[in-house]
Amino acid sequence: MSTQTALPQGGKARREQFATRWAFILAAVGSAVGLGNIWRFPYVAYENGGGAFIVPYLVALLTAGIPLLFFDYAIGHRFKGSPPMAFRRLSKWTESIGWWQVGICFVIGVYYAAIIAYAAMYTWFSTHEAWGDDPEAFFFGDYLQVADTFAPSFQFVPGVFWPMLVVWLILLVVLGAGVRKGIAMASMIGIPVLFVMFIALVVVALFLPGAPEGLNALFTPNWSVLTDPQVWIAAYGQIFFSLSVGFGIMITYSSYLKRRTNLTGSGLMVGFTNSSFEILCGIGVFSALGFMAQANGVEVADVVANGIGLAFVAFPTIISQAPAGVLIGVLFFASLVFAGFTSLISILEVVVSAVKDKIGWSRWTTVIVVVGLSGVVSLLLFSTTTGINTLDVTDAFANNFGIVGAALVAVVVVSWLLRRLDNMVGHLNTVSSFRVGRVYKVLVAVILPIVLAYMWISDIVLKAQDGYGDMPSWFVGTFGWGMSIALIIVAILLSLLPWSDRSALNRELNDNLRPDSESGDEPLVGSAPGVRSTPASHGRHTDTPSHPENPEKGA
Amino acid sequence: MDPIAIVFMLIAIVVVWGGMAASLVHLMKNPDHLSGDEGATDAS
Repeated sequence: MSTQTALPQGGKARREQFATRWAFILAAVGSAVGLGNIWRFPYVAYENGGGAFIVPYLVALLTAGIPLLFFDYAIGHRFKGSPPMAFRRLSKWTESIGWWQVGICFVIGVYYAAIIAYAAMYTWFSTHEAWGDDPEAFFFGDYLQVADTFAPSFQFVPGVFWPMLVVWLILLVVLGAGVRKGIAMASMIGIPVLFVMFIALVVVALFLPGAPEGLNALFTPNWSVLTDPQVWIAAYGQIFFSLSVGFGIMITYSSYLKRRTNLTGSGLMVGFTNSSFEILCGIGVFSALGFMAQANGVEVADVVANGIGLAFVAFPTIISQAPAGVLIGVLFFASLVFAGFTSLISILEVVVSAVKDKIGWSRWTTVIVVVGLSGVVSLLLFSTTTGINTLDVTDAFANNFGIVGAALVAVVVVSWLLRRLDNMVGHLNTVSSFRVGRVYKVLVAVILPIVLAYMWISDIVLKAQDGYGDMPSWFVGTFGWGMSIALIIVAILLSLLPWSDRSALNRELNDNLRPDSESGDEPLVGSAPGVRSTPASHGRHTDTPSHPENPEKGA
Repeated sequence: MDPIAIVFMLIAIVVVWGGMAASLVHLMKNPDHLSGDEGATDAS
């Protein structure tokens, strides 16, 4: 079933669209609010100055997170395409950047589904505290049945395989239903449910004995750390990884916006809502950790954890010991499921959108092929007894090498090589209420590349010198370095493939550009701040151009 | 809770949640069709 709607003028099809900007905002919040908010932010804040962390955190949000969000919005909205198509319209030489981002999304998507499956099973385990007296042994032994070797096995773990299969089937239906009935609907249901559940969790956690000690640990400021550059890098890293920027998601989602959409106003809302949820997560998680410390007669510092250790080892311990532990468990793990699933939808939609744009298949055909193949790879690699190790290393490299590297290349290419930042600023100001200008350009062209380059290079040097964890070098070489470099090579190869006549590049309308200007050098609107639109765009109060194919007729 | 921790928790809440509230108000006051250079033109 194709969701494209043919237009009478010129025979070009209209791209799928979110019905309202609120649908887009909820979908973007659903993408940004993910596992990292819940299990990463509280730990990072605690480790990097506690209450004082709010200073670098806010600076990073305002100088990197939101500017990069606007940057992605500008590219996706102006060039109306998935990352490969948007970058192809920017310049035919930059299509591979888009495919790099698509490849990163594919890799993250296939392992992300496994974590959602863990959380779904733990929602059930919480009802009867299935982990007994030793949550760590239960998680790695009884539940995951982790093998002693690193070489991928094909011994499937039923407790992981079946919930993962369900995740992929639901994903198939949601993505197949399209932007409005699938993606937007999932977020319009999932995000309110997530917020209600997590607020309920925070309220319960705040009344646990020991919660004040946990909050003391999180919010007592340690000003001395603010002179440590690593703390500032940690703040930029948290903002960067939390906001779902730099790897194609926001480009894809903003390509589904109506032409007249307040981009920067919506972006501010998304950025601050994501951070608001992070603060809520910090309060909830550290209240619970404060209880855990008190119950075991130790300091909060002795029980602080993040990631999988926090979710599947520390929280089960809390659930076993706390009054209303079952309630806490169900709320916590169900929140992980909802937060993770709305993010996974956005991650896989990047891949679906890119394949659909390039080949010109219908949405359902594309979804069945892309989600089907992704699901098979996901189940083969991550539902087995060696899945957790593969997940660990691919996660580390996909984020620190892939996302950071692709974002760095994108901002440098657009700002310095193509010198198109003025176009992006012009486009934002043409349709948005919150104007950006010289300060914004300095942030994107100078500050962002410096921060991203530092993060990227320092991580490469660290991993090259020390390896990754205790994993054997061949394993890190294959699933870490090998996977990362393969993504770049595949991206270049895919960018060399021709766009078919049925592709979105040739069939879909871009009402921001003149029809004969594929490169985007001749915009209908927004070539620079203050430059007026052509007569075709004057006097319009709707997002539908009167003569999108032939602007001269609009005069 | 210690007073200093309470103060910083409140600062974090006020600044970040306040930012969200301000963004919401800003967005409500700026509907899509009246935003940006095109919106200014259309409104005039």
